[in-house]
Amino acid sequence: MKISYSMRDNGAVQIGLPVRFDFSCHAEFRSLYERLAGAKQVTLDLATTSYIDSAALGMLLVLREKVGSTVTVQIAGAQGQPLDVLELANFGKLFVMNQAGAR
Amino acid sequence: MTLSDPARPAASGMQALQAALGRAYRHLDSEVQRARTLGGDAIGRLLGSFRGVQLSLLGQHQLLREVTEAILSKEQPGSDFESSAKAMVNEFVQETLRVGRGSMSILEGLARLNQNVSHIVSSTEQIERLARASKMIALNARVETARAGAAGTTFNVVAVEIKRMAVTSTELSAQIRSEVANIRKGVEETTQTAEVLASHDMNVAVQSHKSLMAAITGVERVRKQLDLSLREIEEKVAEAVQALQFEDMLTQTLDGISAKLAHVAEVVHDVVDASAAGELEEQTPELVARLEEAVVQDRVVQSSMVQGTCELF
Repeated sequence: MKISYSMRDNGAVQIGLPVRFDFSCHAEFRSLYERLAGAKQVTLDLATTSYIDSAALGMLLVLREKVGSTVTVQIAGAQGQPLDVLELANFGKLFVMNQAGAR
Repeated sequence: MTLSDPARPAASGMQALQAALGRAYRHLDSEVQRARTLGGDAIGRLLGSFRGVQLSLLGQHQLLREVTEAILSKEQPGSDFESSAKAMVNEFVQETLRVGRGSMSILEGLARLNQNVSHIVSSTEQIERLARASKMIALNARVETARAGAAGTTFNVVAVEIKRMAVTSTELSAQIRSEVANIRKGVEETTQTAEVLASHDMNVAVQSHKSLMAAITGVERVRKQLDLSLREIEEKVAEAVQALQFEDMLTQTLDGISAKLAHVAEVVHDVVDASAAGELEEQTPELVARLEEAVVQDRVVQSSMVQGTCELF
């Protein structure tokens, strides 16, 4: 398993993404969708991720739609290439960007 | 005046002296005029050159300004290079996102399709088990009808029909399996296509965007530097032009020298006349006073470009 998942009692979900987050992760990432029911907040931790591609952006967009607008989705710890790509794609308008890392 | 007076110079000597003084005065005056002409020409040319340089620099600045404004124009938003390039990069990124997002949705649909296909396969297996069971039942029925003889003839027809249905079910199941295999192959190919569509390296877009921003920042810096250098050039040229305006002072100084020369020549001429008339001693105080006045009289009282008073006009 490349992707880690944990859910706290308060409904806060934390998803740890792999070093290389690309198309090869799609099946595993998709399997998370059904585990997000009841989530109040989702944090996508990119602290250890050093590369993302357009497929990764597509997965993040689908996840954003799946959880609905009432759930806050935070992208934490992005730096380097992932941060450049997320900024270029204006993801700050869709996600809460927290460069300090997952809390 | 008498020729026998030894204190008086000879009349012919006085005339020669006056003529020599006249020639000296005219020579000096012509030198002064020549100096004024040469100075005026040189300064005029320098001023012309400075103004030419200033005009050329202004022209170059204007051209560069037009180029930078074509890149950075804020007057017509969207029409300049900066806006167009940013819009192009943004459009590329948004298109990539749409493809990535769409590909992921296709994959989700394909996954559901795969699940449904698995259900079909499972159902097919059940059908095949039923067909096998039906065949066994038909076989047993035929054994029993054979044993019953004529009484079992009618039942044998049913047994044959059951076997035929079981065979048909097996054939249909095989067809379904074949179709399912085709569907799975199609799903696999579509998945590969979705991967190709979805997987774009974003580094090219990121680098293009960074290069674009760096280029725009560079052009901004060039434009600011141009404005700064233009102001410096204008100030320096203005200083140079101001410095070269000493032509007027030079002209006035030379005119003053020329006038003084005329006064001195006039006094000397009167000295000769007074001497010839034997009245030199008597007229000496007045002649000395005139001579001093002629030399002291000054029209330009300036020793540098930055201080003093000057009757320029």
